[in-house]
Amino acid sequence: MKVLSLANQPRGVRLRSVASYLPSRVVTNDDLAALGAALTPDEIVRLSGIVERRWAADDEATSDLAIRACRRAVERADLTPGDISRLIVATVSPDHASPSAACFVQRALALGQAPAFDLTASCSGFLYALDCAVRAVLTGDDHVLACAADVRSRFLDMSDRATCALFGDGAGAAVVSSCPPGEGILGIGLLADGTGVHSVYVPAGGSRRPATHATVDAHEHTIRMSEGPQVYLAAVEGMAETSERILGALGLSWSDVDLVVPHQPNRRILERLTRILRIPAEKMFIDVERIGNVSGATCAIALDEALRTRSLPEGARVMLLAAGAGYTAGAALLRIDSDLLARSRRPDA
Amino acid sequence: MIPRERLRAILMNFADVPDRDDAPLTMDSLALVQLVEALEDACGIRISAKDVTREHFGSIDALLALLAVLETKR
Repeated sequence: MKVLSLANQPRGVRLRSVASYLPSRVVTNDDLAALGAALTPDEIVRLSGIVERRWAADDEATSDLAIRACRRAVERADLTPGDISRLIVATVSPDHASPSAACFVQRALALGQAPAFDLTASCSGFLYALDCAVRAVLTGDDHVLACAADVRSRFLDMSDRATCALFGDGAGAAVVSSCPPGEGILGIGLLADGTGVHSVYVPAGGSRRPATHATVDAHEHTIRMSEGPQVYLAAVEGMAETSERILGALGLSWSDVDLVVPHQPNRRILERLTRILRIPAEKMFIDVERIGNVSGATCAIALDEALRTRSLPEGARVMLLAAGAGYTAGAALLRIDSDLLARSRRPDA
Repeated sequence: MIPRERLRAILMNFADVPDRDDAPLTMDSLALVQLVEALEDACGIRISAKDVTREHFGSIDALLALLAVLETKR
């Protein structure tokens, strides 16, 4: 993995704002049981730590959630849509196979002719979008919207014990802008390991196995996780490896990091990650109980909540990290500036 | 190296332990994850995702062989 260190770049890159949107429908473990879930509410808590999650309304699609998060991020950044140079939406559940969800967001936000595209990196989606945004700003873009959004509730099989209770819906977004060198994002890195392509996947609906009556009858349009323990361990390894390589490249250690904001696949994974990284539990931000796993959006949603609710000082170093299907993984180390803290904490219009 | 009887004692917390060490081991995914963490604690090793295969966790003999390899890397 090659770490992009921003210390030696001619311009710095920072998060000018962060925002998120969660749909209003709260789905508890009792609600899942009523829907025929293969796990009892007690089993769900014991296996995952998840108590409730949000699901999109029947008339809401991924771009609807992304639009809400992106609009909020632009407003918090004290910018107008015309200021946005580029839009990146990370998703594995776009509104349609074609065109991109990003183009729906681009239209709704009236982003003029700003280029807009989707990328797919599963639960690492926000980190991948952030990496693209950082590189766009380094090469001249002024303000890039990096968004991750997913509606995975449409792809659940309530009879599947491995996946029926894990996923929620939501969106997170950040406006990524230039800043003086040495401030803002200190480093970012991504990796992928294609040996995990069938670890967590949706078997049908793509070009390899198009939708047919048979694929629908066989529930092949829902999320499958074939080897749960391997996925569990690989997620921890991916997050640990990427974040430690970033610290190594920057000459820092975990004692230099004030808060870790990870993807939230389930509580057991985050507890193992805390042990392996040898960091105090209070440094690990966990909101999986109320949000669940929102795929690529999880990390951005957690960052938004952390900025609003944690008493982080100006200059605090925050490590974002994520890992997901594929396998994919990513991490970024941020230095939080006073503008970002103020924008995150003031009431939205 | 972890003694065979110590491994059997740990396994009993997570699976039905067969009489023979080459007999198949079966457990659900949560038990497997808990077993991995118990073995890491007991042996002072790290078990990675690539180690968790049916081949390595298929019997007590296989598990002992894996642990022997991992303990040499410790």
